[in-house]
Amino acid sequence: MLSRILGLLSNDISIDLGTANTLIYMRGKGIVLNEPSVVAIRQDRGPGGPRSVEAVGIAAKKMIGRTPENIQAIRPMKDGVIADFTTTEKMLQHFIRKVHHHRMFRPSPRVLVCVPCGATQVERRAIRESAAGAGARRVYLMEEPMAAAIGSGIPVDEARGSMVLDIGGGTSEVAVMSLNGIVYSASVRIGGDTFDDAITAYVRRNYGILIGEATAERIKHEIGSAYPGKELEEIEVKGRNLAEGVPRAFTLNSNEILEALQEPLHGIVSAVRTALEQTPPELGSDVAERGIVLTGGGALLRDLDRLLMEETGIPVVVADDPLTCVARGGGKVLEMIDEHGTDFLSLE
Amino acid sequence: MATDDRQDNPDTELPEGVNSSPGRLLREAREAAGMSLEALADRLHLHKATLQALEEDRFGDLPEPPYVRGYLRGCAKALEMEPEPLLQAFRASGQPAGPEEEQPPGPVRGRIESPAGLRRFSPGLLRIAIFGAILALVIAGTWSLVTGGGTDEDAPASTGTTGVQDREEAPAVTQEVPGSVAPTDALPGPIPLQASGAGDDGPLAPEGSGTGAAQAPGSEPHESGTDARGDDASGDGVPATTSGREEREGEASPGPVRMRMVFREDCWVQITDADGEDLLSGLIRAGREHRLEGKAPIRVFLGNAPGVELTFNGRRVDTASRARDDRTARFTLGSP
Repeated sequence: MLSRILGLLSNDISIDLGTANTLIYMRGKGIVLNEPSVVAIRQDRGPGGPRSVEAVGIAAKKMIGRTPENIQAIRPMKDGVIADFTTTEKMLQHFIRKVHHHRMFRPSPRVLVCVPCGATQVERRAIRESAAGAGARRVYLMEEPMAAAIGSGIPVDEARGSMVLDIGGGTSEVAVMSLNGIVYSASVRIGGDTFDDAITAYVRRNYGILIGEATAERIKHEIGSAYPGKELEEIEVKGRNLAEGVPRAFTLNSNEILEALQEPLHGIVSAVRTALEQTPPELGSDVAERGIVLTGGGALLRDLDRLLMEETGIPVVVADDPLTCVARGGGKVLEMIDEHGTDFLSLE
Repeated sequence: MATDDRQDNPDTELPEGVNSSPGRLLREAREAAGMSLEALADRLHLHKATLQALEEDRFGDLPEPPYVRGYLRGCAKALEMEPEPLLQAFRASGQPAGPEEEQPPGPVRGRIESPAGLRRFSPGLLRIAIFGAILALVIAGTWSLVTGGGTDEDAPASTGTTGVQDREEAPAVTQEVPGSVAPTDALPGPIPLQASGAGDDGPLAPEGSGTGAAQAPGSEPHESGTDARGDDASGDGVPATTSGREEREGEASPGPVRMRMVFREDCWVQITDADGEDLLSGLIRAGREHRLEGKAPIRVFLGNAPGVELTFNGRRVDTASRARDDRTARFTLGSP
């Protein structure tokens, strides 16, 4: 009863609990939070000492790779699922409170969390309990590609096939939907983080220089591309020379990064090809006619749509504001739950 | 049942500031880049016919707006131009310009039972109302504890009724709330109130309970409170005080009716007919015109009532005078 009353004082939210970023969509307000899924934990008095949260989100991300011994900046999510249960719960608690900052009472909203379709029952339960532990009154789970499709605005309720490729930080999800249901879905553990790792490995292998996570991400954002472009772009970065042990500056160009990204990109293309092979022919022809919709932060990698178009031979469109599609889709579903109940979609 | 007069030719209604349609802009850019229609279609792996439809602004032959926006972006990239002018022209042609403007997909027909009256309140107001209600409950509870059993003896004395009638007192008093409001300005309770009343009485039209409540004080208030809706009476009283009013058109017109709506301004609408079917729902842009056909009585909810011209069976309905302070209006047309 008390939680219901408190619930009236909270706004329902949809959470895209991603490996790289967590986004929160609040009903009636839109995207209210977009922060890295990073928590900095302080542990004083050595191992086994009391642990406390030092920073969460943007502040914690700045600490990655720059922390003293008693602070550890960690990403509690890995490959789209929870790797560290307690820290995820703390992070969610922090984010839920942050978006309800002006409230007198502890917020107790209904929460819809989007999960990768490859998540196991154990992983789903961990996410559900983590959200409940963070103060949610009621937790709905929804598969990410469905949320991404609804968020991008494509009509999933019609008897027509729509294919969505959602490239997140830890996983890429490809799904074919029709009549509010998922006909085929697959999840590969390749995402934005894999691109960063590939760049780090390439630089170490070819230059003998070690670069950090943040530098690899910056390289990807600035000159990363998935298809050979007309112009060659360059970037100057600094890293530690493994042989000499001192920091060195060096220049990378976009063709090198394209080469570095070949392996993860190939993984994504294969997943899409497999999806097209597995799709029933009628739905496949709908997809071939209208195209694949690209969502998620990975869709922002330059010319990824071009690569997929050339590899599959069907149109590929990038959704509007691809980074927030999943969270926005979750928000729309929350509104639909109020109107139509939970029967119309496969919610858990 | 609902027919939609969508104006498919955007050339005639381009707003100020945009001097070309998306198709024309695209064709000009393509020709300037010296690229043939086939070459561009090949590059984007689109059918030539699709690209042709895009260039000729035949949006009816194209997939849904999110796809079209994606095609326009792809074309802009292939032609090495900024996508924004194309998207802006697309927006100006009356199509949804971004994710925020689109409606949530697939309303499941005939299942809208949400308490619309409550949702019209802003969350802040609702919260204040809830706080007030809780506070009032606490005060009432404390008062009854402090005064103790004295009230039990006072109550019959003030009403002057016998012990037998005492048991009927509670429903009779609560029933007077909707009853006394209804006849003064002919405003029965909100939709959820009627729906629950009708549901209990059998498969009646929503107006069944509304008219019952309106007649009640004139004839026998005790009777309607006790036999027909005794259980619902206390529940009905609450939304009647918090939610908005609903007006009815006096004219009786059973069977199918025709409505014409001309939108001078953007307006959110929900039009539901007697079968509970949504004839029109969602945000309608200024300049659109819709003709609807449905079974009377028709429930109308307008988000921006003064911006809509409404004709019901050929007769003009004054929407502006029905608008509340927040420009919304809720009324029923063609009730018997």
